[in-house]
Amino acid sequence: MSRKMKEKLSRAFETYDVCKLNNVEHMQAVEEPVIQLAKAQFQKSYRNKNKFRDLLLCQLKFCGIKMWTFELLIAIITSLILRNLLADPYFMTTRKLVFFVVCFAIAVPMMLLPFLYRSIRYQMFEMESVSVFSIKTVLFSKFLLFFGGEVLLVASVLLVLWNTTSITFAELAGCILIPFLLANDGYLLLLKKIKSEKLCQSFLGFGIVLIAIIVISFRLTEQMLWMRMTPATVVSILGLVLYGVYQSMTLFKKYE
Amino acid sequence: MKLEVENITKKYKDKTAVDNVSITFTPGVWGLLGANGAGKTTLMRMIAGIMEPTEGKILYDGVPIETLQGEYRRIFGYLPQEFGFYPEFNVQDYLEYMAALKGMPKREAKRKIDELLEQVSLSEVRKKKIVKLSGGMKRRVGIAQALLNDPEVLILDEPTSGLDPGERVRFRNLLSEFAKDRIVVISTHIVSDVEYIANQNAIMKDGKIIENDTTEQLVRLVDGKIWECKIPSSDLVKWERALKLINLRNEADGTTSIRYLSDQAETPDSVSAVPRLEDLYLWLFPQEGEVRL
Repeated sequence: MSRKMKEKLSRAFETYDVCKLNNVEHMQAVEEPVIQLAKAQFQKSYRNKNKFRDLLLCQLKFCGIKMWTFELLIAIITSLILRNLLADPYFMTTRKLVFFVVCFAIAVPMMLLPFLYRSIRYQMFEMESVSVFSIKTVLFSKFLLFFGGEVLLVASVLLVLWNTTSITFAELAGCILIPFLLANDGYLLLLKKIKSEKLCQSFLGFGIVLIAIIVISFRLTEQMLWMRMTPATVVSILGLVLYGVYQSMTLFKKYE
Repeated sequence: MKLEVENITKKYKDKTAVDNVSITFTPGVWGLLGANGAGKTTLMRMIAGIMEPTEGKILYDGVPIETLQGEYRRIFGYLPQEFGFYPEFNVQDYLEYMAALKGMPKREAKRKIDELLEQVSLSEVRKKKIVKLSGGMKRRVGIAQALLNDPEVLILDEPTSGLDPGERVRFRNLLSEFAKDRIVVISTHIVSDVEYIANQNAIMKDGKIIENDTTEQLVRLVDGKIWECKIPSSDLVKWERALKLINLRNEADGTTSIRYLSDQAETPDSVSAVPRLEDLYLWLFPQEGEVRL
């Protein structure tokens, strides 16, 4: 209980008609529930003031603009590079294009790493660790902001490819969404399970492992498995979206 | 209100940084003294909740701080030895960011930031980037952020490093006023800061607390061991080797006034001096590295 609340309660008890209470036991029987009630009220009012939304807005002001500017630059550069590459007949094979898109979808979430690392590099990690929200909530807020930009970045690349290639939108979505959602869900899981000081290394390791799996699977498979919008693909995408939402909600609830 | 540290230990692969430390902090100013590597910063980081102890627990008003989580951090203020900031932050931005991290409502944060900037004499540089401030000014920004949420428990690791004497006096006065009904723990090498304002001091050595008492009681450990005298300046080198010198001052008449540690007077004209906390510190941590305890 804070000092202010204690002072308020103290003043309240001073004005209580103590003539009615003629023994210590009786006093405690009355005092204890009042104190508990006051504490619960105090905590509730404090919690209502400090919503995750306020943290998100603060992160947006101080970190989010930077992140989104960075992602916008990447979107523009990637779109320009793609337009040039797609004009090249060597690159313009479906297999290479799909490989590029899948790796890109995994690499995009990894771009959060420099922003997480910034926190460690400038020793803000320690200051953010003693925040009222806990370090994982602060990291989750950064993740959410970055994810918003990621979606737009991936969508812009998707549109460029859809406009300039003969691959259908459904096939492109299948290529991009599964690795993209898989990477993001993986990062959410790591955020939940791994100690905050090991997160950067874990994220990097996970991203590298995913890309390695993609490279190996492309060498081993001849079929354009990634491009088929089968019912299994649709179910996988839905499953990954739901899992991501579930993870986000549990993180939100746990650290609010 | 009390903060209980119970049998706290922090072990790394090659060393034990904090070794079975138990101490109860009550309202008032506490000094935490010790040489480099004594374990002060590790202990403070565990109290701040940013480092998990290997063994033991920390309780605030009888409740483990891991259970309290956000409720504990809400009433907690912390200034690390090296506090961080993003390079694009100016003073105002930084304090607003920290206020948001401490869960403060915007209106309250604005009022408090204005008040604190006035108290630490940084109102004129509120729009200046922190990277461009002097070391002392940066330290004052750190002190201001630690006080933002009006904490009930305030942990300060080397708060006055880089501050000039005037700033240190202002800081001491600020803390003395602040520390009524609050727990303030200051870890410092500048013993004089702690000597004037600390009610109690804990001294750490090799991860353990070796002494824990009021300043008056602690300095009695070196009562009768502090001497002052004058020697010819030409003999200084000889006496420097023979005695554990605490302080020396060259006088205009060709002599040197010395203050030294010894169980007995080493020169005929030595007089017993009133011991200070710094004398105790040097007695417990001799520069030659000789183990006293």
